[in-house]
Amino acid sequence: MPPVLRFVGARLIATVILLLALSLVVFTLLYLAPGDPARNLLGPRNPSPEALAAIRAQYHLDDSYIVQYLHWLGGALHLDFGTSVRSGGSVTSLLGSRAGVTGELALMAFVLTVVIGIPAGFWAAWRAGGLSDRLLGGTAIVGVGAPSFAVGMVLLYVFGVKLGVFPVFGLGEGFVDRIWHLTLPAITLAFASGALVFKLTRTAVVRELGSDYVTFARSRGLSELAIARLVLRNAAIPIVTSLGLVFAFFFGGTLLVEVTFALPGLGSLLASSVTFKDIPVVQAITLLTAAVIALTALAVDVATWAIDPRVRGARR
Amino acid sequence: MDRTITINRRTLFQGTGAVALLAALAACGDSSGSTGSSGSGKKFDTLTVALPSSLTNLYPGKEAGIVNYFVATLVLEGLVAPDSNGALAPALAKSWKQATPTTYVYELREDATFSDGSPVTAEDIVYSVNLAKDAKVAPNTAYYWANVKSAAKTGERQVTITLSSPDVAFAWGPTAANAFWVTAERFVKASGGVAQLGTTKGLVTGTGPYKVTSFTPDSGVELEATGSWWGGDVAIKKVVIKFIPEESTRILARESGDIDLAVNISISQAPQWKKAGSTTVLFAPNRSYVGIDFNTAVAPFDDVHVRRAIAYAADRSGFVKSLLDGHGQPATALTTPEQIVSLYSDSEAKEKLALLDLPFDMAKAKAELAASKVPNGFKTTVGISSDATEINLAFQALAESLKELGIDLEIKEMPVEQWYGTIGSPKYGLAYMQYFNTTGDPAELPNWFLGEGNPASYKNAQMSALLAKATSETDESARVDQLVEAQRIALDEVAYLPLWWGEAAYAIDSSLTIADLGSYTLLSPWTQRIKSRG
Repeated sequence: MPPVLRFVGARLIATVILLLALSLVVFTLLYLAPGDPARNLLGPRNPSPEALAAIRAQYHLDDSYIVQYLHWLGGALHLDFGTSVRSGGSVTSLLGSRAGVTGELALMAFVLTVVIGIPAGFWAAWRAGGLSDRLLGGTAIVGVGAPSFAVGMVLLYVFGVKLGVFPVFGLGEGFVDRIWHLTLPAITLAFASGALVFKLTRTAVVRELGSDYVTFARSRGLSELAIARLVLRNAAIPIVTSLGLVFAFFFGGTLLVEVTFALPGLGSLLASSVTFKDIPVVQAITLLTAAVIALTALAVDVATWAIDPRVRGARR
Repeated sequence: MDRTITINRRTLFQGTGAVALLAALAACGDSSGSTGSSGSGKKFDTLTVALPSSLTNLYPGKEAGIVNYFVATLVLEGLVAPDSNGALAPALAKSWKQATPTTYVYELREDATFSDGSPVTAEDIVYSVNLAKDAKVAPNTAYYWANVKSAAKTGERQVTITLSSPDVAFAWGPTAANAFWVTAERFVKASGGVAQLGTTKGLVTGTGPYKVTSFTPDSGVELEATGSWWGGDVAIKKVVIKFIPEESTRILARESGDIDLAVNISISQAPQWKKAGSTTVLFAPNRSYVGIDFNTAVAPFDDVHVRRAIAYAADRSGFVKSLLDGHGQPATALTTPEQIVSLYSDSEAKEKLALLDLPFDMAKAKAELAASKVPNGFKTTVGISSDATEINLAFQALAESLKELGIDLEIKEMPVEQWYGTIGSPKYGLAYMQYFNTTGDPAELPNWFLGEGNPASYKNAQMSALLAKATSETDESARVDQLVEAQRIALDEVAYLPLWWGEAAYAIDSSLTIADLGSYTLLSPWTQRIKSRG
């Protein structure tokens, strides 16, 4: 078997074990958390014992801890993630309708991060110490430090209300309208991550530019473009790793942005489900997020493997 | 058109850093002017409404938050419905009578149809009762039907509901504002069975002026006039309802003209709403009650002097004046005045409910505590829901006063779901209740708070006898008197300390207004009451 397949296979098996362990941990934490889903469903009103009993029976809330977990696991192995206690609908369809929004938002923010963060980092490193470097560096500090809901509010106020070029909330219909609606949220998300990627790229490129091989290449009279290509390849590993981190962060970290822009994504669903103790929904979202993070990490490793011959050599 | 232009221009500037991108967007904004908003406020045939929280299900039996009712009452109807004073008026039943203490006979109107044009039959009513009665289908409202023995078709257009024992409060059961929504078995079957009722897949089909055309939880609901409602034509043909949890975003959405009406805005944010441009903020009582529950079975709250000391230390008028900006009233009973205004005038109602006379007085508070079993004070904790800003502030003020007495009141903020667990819990001798009365029935909160297993663990034989008597009393004012007397007994002993009766605030485009705005306005097809100003 080619080593790359063996490597990927082993990682996939490890991922499955990780997800299984994670599901048990999340289930246990929620099980132990204060509150009663049946009571939550009834809200602040007189809870009749009959109604409570009926709900508890319907969602198997009276079963023992381990029976409840096995019940959930049995369904999950058949890709049936159960019924949401809060909405009464199936978790799979609930997630299906939400994951799309979060995925599109994450993807858009990711693209913005890549097409802005990396070139800007490269540009700044090439002109280290110059005016554009300092301007970009200053912006990046704001980007890393500013809380996303505050950035979102400022963008909403300027571009949604004052200039009226972007919608203030919601999703829109059709492809173009959807992208238009997701632009401000994606910029909000990408502001912090773009700044992070910018700083990492700049650091990596500055380091490479000070290397002997660059001095040597320059002394041999290579064109700046050829040098840039050399530098980019060598600086790629920390950049790719940071991009993996950023994408994983997006998938779990869209909560504040989703709430600010009233987007029906996974983040807002997770927040309300955790406090409600809607265990089937929380389980499904955490596992989905964990799977995305694990697969992203795997993709980063494969990419590193492809970029760097030294890593390839070591694995062989 | 300018949407695609905006995006194309933006791509030109990509790759030059965040600052350049923002500058580019600003430039686009300048060139295209403020064309982004749809200007929906101008077109009166469409009303865009923002709700502060999301719905996950459209059938209130499955999810019965306040905003669920605002949406449901536009699509679904009951047999009867509240008028603007809270008196019951015809809906799908053109008339009804209580034939015996346990039987209610409803005569159905002939002209009612479902949104597909098919007529409403007595069988549909019976089917819908059985839905609402089933704790599995309607966990939120089944308890309201627990005392109902049966619903039967007793004539071509007549349905009789039989109770197991007399209960006057049942009259409010078959309203869409409380616990009854008429649909038909064929619609439920066609859309995936009862499990899918009200979900994005199953939706709901009813007899109201609107039908649901789309529903996305955490995003919104769209409704369209059916044109076949028995109540006649509706001026607003389309209602677009958006769920926008973040209040700042809602204010910006109003400012940009994307929404016409925001319901249940927070009172503390009212000044910000007023600044949003072309926006009017309206206030109306909402039959809500906020008060302290003392668990009289838990020391030291088993001592009436302790309870009275805390009551004297609570500046109830001050809370209303400073925390609610005057939008509310210091409460003096469990029943809210709006629940008896169909029988009395406003001032008579308030007078009748003036049961609590414990004005803010620190000297008396000290004297009461000195006479108690814990004269040197004690330490206790209250759990406060994190979304209850005004209540949190009130308790902070109360804690300051209590410190003077030597009582250390710790405030523990918690998610709303965790707060439910503090009600009646022996771990929290002092808890609070924020209760939104669903019905206009004056017994709604007393039945819980004075009944068996009440959160105060308070028992009194005379009080229970009065409460039981009120259950079958058909003379409405005699019943109010019995309920008032029962409350007087519990409040004399300060088992509960009512703090205030609340108001709801609504922000609306200044070109519109809500006619007859009161606590019942949004509980019957309410778009009829949205009027153009001037």
